[in-house]
Amino acid sequence: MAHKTMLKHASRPEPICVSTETIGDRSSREYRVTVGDRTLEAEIEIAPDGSGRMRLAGKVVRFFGSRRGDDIQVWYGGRVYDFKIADTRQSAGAVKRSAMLPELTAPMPGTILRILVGDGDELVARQPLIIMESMKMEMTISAPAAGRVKEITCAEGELVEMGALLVRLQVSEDDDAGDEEAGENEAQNA
Amino acid sequence: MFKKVLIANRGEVAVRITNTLQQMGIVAVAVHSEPDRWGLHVRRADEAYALEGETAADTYLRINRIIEVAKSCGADAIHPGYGFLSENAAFAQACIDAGIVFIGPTPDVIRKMGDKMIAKTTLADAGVPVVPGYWDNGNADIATLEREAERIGYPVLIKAAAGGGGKGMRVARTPDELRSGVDVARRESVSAFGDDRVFLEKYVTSPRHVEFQIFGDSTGRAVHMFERECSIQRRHQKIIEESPSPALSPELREKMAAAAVRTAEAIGYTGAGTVEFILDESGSFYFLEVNTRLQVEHPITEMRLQLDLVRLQVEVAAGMPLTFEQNDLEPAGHAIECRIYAEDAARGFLPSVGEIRQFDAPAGANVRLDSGVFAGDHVTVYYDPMLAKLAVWGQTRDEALARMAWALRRFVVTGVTTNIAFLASVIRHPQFQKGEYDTHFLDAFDLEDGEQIPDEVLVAAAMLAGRTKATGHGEKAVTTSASPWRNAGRWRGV
Repeated sequence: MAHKTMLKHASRPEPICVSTETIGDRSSREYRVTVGDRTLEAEIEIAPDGSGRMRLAGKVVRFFGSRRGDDIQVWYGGRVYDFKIADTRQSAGAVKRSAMLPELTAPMPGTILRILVGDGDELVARQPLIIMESMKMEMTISAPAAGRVKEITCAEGELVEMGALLVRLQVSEDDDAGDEEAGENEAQNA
Repeated sequence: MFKKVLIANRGEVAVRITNTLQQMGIVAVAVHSEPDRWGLHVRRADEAYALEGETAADTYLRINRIIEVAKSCGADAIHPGYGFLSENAAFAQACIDAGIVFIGPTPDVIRKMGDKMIAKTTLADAGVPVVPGYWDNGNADIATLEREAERIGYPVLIKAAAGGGGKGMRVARTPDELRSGVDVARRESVSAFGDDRVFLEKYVTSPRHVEFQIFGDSTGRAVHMFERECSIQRRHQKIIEESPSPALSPELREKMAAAAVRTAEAIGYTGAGTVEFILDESGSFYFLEVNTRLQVEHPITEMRLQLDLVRLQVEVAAGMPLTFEQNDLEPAGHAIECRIYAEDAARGFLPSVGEIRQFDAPAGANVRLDSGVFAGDHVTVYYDPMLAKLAVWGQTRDEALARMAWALRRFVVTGVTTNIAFLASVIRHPQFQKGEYDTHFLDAFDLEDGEQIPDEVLVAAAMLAGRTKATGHGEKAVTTSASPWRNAGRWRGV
């Protein structure tokens, strides 16, 4: 029985269910690949450097593939496609809740330029909290949802590592404003 | 000739200079920051010395430390590349004081051209056209400014004297807009820079950025090496350059080239420099600035003239005269350069950091790659995220465009997000293909998106997903979950 994996791609609202199984004996390079409700047959070879060749629908093409944990990248025809393996044990609701995690961290190493809020401040969704500078770019870290500032854990002028905790929030439980855009780091020209 | 030259730079330009030095039989010395210790420019150099530190300020900008390294390793000269200390008069002077040749113009020329007002006045006096404007002490009353705006002709640009990065800048098309614009510009400038002085300048509505390569030697002779069209810019930074410019008639080219040579002669320029002009729709051109260094986009000039500009820089710095006349320079065909950046065009050209998983560049006749990275290398936040420059040459512009489209489609970089697909869509754009564009071209550029994921991609992704322990290239991958790339993904929406 082929193992099913859910793949997320930015262009698709829902994850794509994929699975592969070998056709013939184990040394075969021919596979039956299920993508959603379609089944495709392909002959595939991937070299140790990730460069690959595939015969699909009678055509041989070149591609590059790489995987880092749950991150998959495929280069094909001059473009790079990013996929993420979705954790199938997690329901869609759980994904949404985790997107409202009340701890905001630095998305890149950089300098804290300005802190726009203080401990205990009431927040609305998307309210800018912190302005950082990294690689000559300014970026704004905003509230993922309405709530309150529990604790600011960085200081203006501080050089922070990537992933450093910047601010703890208390997210309002009745508020459902955690739309996809909220909490996104918006970068702009410094 | 020099025996040993230190390169005070990093990345692709340091590699490019290293290549020429080694081809000339000169020992190439690299300096490097901590994060760059395994970098390509260090690997290619004959000798490499550490500049302890991570940030540019602590390493590639530390004049005393670099001079100290040059002295202790016995370098005869220093090549500054572009960026960093290349246009720093104090650095050029420090080299001279230490008895080391600075490969570039004199500190005096660097200083004068670095001050925009001095540069403008010097060149206006030499008969080079400059953007009409009104400059006095910046405190003129509104009646004077209105009178001056009439003289310059609307639209005018109101500029804060202390300004930069677009702050305190306003366009005025009428006297009413001028009055309100001056107020706003003054207010913005006070809050941003603590300075309320404003100037007026003619606003060029559809500007093209056209620059001329100049070269002078110590005998006082100067030549131009024709133009580069650099109007395709994002965040005021060039990303595609071509030569010749589709906007120049032979007559206009001759006029601009003469102004460029006049500029070089007026300031006694030695070595490689670039005179930048703004060109408007009517064919009027105005001096913008002189870049007193090797330019990023110099390869397209080299491809058309079959010259090595770095070799010429070294020879001129060693006191040798230019061995050719202006008339010997006959450019051939058409050349285009694309700058490959680790950045996400769909996210406001946000830089992308992390491991370069795969790097497979196109190669072939008339395709040139100047790269500073390799597969397995890391792009860090410390420096400019330009990875490489891809340049192509063709007999005609159409041939060069087709070759560039092919080369970009063939260029594989994974791990970090790059602008390769974006560059390809610019090259394909009908307006670009016709050569009809100005510096605002990318402001209104629509990204191609929302297209279907090809079956080939889905099949490849399924294969990689199906491996519990990813094969081949992915094997190392599974254990490197702490790589910056993984975390950088959070950038896309926490």
